[in-house]
Amino acid sequence: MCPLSDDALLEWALAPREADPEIERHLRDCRACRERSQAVAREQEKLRAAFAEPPLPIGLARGLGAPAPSALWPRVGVAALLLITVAVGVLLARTASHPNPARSYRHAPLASIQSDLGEMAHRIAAARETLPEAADQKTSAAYLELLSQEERLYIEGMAHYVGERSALSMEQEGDLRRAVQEFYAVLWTRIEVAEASREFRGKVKALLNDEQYRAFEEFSRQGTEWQWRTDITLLMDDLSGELDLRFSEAERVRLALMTNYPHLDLPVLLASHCPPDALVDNPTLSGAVRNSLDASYRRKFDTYLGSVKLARERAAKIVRQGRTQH
Amino acid sequence: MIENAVDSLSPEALTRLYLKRVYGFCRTMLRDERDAEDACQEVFLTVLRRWDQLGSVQKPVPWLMKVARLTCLWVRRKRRKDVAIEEAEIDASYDPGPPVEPGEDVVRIMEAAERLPERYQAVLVMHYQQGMSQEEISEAMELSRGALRVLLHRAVMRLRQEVRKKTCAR
Repeated sequence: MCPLSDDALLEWALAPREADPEIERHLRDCRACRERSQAVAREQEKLRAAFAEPPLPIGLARGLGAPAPSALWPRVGVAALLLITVAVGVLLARTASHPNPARSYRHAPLASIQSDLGEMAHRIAAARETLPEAADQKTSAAYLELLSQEERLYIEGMAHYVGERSALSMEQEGDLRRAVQEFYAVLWTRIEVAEASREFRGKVKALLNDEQYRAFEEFSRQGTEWQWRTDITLLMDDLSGELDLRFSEAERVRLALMTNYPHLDLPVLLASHCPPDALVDNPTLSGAVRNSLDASYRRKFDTYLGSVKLARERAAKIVRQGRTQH
Repeated sequence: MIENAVDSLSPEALTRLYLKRVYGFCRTMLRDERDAEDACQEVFLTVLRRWDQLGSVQKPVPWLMKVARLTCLWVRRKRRKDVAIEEAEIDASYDPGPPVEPGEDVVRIMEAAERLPERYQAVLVMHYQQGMSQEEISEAMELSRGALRVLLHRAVMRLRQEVRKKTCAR
């Protein structure tokens, strides 16, 4: 029986360069699968044609300063593109010897860890919004699972990042995992967070060698910065959607958030944390956001705060029950 | 495809280079010429407003597409024509059917695409119209590569299903 499923054929058609060479080999040898793959390839052509780029309206081209299309443009365009390619090449070559820290950051493994964590944060925020007043066992379990997935993802990311610098032994990895989980448990009780952070750092330092500890501190520092930026982005998305903000309004809100959103001084990312919580916990922040809004939006903002409070209470109830059961 | 680091361009040059692509994206997502023109103007106004912060953007296309997508979302919310279809509502057991036939009318395909959730539409437009790589799309959609692969795959399957639904209804 042919091993190629419809899914595999679609994967192959969507990213042929990344496809498994085994698939290519199989397609050469198997006529039935080759015919199926040709149908999928024809479909891809059809979809490309269906989604073809529409022509640019002349008015818009003039308004925004782009050249309006004319018969001369195709040739001039090609020449311009060639010139630009050469110019960009020269520029890249000239700037290549001056590394920008932001560039290396973008390609570090941290970026992909953060991307996964960012996706998880979106999922948790979305799930929390839809929690019912009295969540049934299935919903509660699903929500708790999301939180522990985030926790696991974070710990795995951290272990991977630290291990890249200097390989972690199985024992070190297990101890690190336990230390982070214990710290999360302490954070949940919200007692003496600063002291707990100090203790946690001391524990981690004892577990790791110097190079690993430096990597941990770097991961932690960049993670905190990243969480701050991600929180603001998530909150902006949320507020823009909920309050139906105009662009000018959104810019003022963004400024208020950038100025007032708290920088958390924690050695690890705050698991199960949702950015809108800061608005409820921090009156200075919510006051600044509220004042940045036009009066016509303020009632909606107050309603939004109310709904955040409610969602947080529901989520906290589930987490409390989950912790008690464990 | 030409990729320019933003810090090597002026805002005007960036607009000239990418206006057609951004308009194409907005036009397809919004299905209305005037809305697309407004959205396009907003995208490039955002570029101007954030020009100072764009020094580290190495690939303008994913960044522009991200801004264009958010702008289109905002316009769609304003129009209130959209009915949100959550991914969770999609039945995992559905049968997407065979690939779209070459003889299928492109207008019907686009009508089917219009009924998809916004995220699906966005990845389809970025993939098929904008010719963006999966890496670029994942950056624009703020997704991991794995999540993007799943999303794109599902989007095509769902599109097949919608096209077939419509064809069967004829």
